Amino acid sequence: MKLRKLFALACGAAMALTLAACGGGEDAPAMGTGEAQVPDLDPAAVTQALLDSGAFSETLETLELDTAYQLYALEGYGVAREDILDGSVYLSAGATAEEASVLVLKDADTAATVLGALQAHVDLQKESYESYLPAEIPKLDNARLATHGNSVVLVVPADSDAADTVVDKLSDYEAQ
Amino acid sequence: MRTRMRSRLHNPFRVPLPLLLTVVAVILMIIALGLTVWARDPDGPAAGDGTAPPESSPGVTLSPSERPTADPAPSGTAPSEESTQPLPSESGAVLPPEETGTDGAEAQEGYDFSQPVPESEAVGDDYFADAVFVGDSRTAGFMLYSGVTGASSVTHTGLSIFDVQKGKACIQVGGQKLTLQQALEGKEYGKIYLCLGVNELGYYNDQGFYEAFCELVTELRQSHPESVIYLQTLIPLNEEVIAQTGGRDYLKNDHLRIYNDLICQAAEDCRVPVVDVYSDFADENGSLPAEASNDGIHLNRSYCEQWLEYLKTHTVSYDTLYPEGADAT
Repeated sequence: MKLRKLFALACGAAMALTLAACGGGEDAPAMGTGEAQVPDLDPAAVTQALLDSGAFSETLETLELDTAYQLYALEGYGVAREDILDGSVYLSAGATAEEASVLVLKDADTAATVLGALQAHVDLQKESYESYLPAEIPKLDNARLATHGNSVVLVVPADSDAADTVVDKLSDYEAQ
Repeated sequence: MRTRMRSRLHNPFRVPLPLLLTVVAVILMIIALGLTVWARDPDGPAAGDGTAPPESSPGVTLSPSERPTADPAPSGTAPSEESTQPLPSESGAVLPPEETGTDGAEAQEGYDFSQPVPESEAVGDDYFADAVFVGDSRTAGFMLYSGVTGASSVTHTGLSIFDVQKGKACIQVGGQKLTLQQALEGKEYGKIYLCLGVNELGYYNDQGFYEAFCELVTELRQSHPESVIYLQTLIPLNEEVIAQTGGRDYLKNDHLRIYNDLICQAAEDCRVPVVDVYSDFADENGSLPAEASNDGIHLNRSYCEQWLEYLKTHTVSYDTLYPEGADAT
């Protein structure tokens, strides 16, 4: 009996120790936020790869991040300009709806918010171009939106297959 | 002594004294009449209005008899179709009206709204801090690529003056769709830059365009009496590039130049300044250079920057325009 009790106590202690080890620590990743460890993208490398891929039908113009911040109306989503740590944005001068935007945000939550803002931007573009330039609607329908760690990517391509050669391999363009 | 003096008085020139006095009186009357006629001579130096006429290439304006009026007119007809006057020249620039009548006399006393804003010393970037740019996709491109800082914008791709006239809520502001007037309501601007007309070319309703334009400008003058409302002439198109990129076939520079004349007429009639941006972009053929745009319509970055530089060197103060304050007419 004594031995059995001792054995039961030992098992219980072992179990307790095991649970304590699973309690998490500073270095252990939080549940469901494994992407926080994914490195940020190199925005310039991503956009250059997109431009080189033949995804666009015209020469796009580069856009300053301050202007992109206003274009995407991010302030209305509670995103401060300082929350954009890095980025590279290319837009058409007005001839088409094509664009390529890569933004690195301060954290995953902000990235998720900006992802929603960019989706809303695409929806607004569809409304604008529906009567103005209907030929651009298929491009907007094929828009690519993706996240990679704290980075967000938006591509409105003329050739979605060409764009996918980059968007599907974003890990190749992580910041060093 | 008395006898000698009487002799001299009676006959100093050997003629009777009364006759002598009569001749002198007639001479004096003739001199007086001549002085009166000279004093009434209307020729004299013209009063300066402080604005030097801009250098512009020759063009033709519609004569006063054929200019569109504010009264309703049959729709679908261009003013030029109703007259025997020649169409505007290829340059499309505006000459001073040939007959100014009383309007010309008034223009001499103040700012001449029949002329584009003359070139002046360039303003700094902060000039546009209280400006709002209103227009279509071209203006949207200007806001993105010109480098203008601090300015607001109210734009919509495909916006036309007819949409504004119908009260179409198409301006996206903070998640809401507003009319142009609603988007500008309640905000104070030092300057309102208006650029509309390219999308309207396809309506073929020149008179309607003019009337709707005047209607909007009048509304803006009432809603924003302290603002300088700049009308901008339309930057030309490149018809070859448009054709190559599958653009709309109604986009023609000849028609655009008619619209520029109408915009200039609206500026004069509504007493607001017009900035002749067209003149800074038109080549020798009155066309936008091919390298300026990927589609012949929307300007590339460097040309948007050129647009801003032109605006910087063509400004006029509110006090110069309206020295007696807000003009309610």
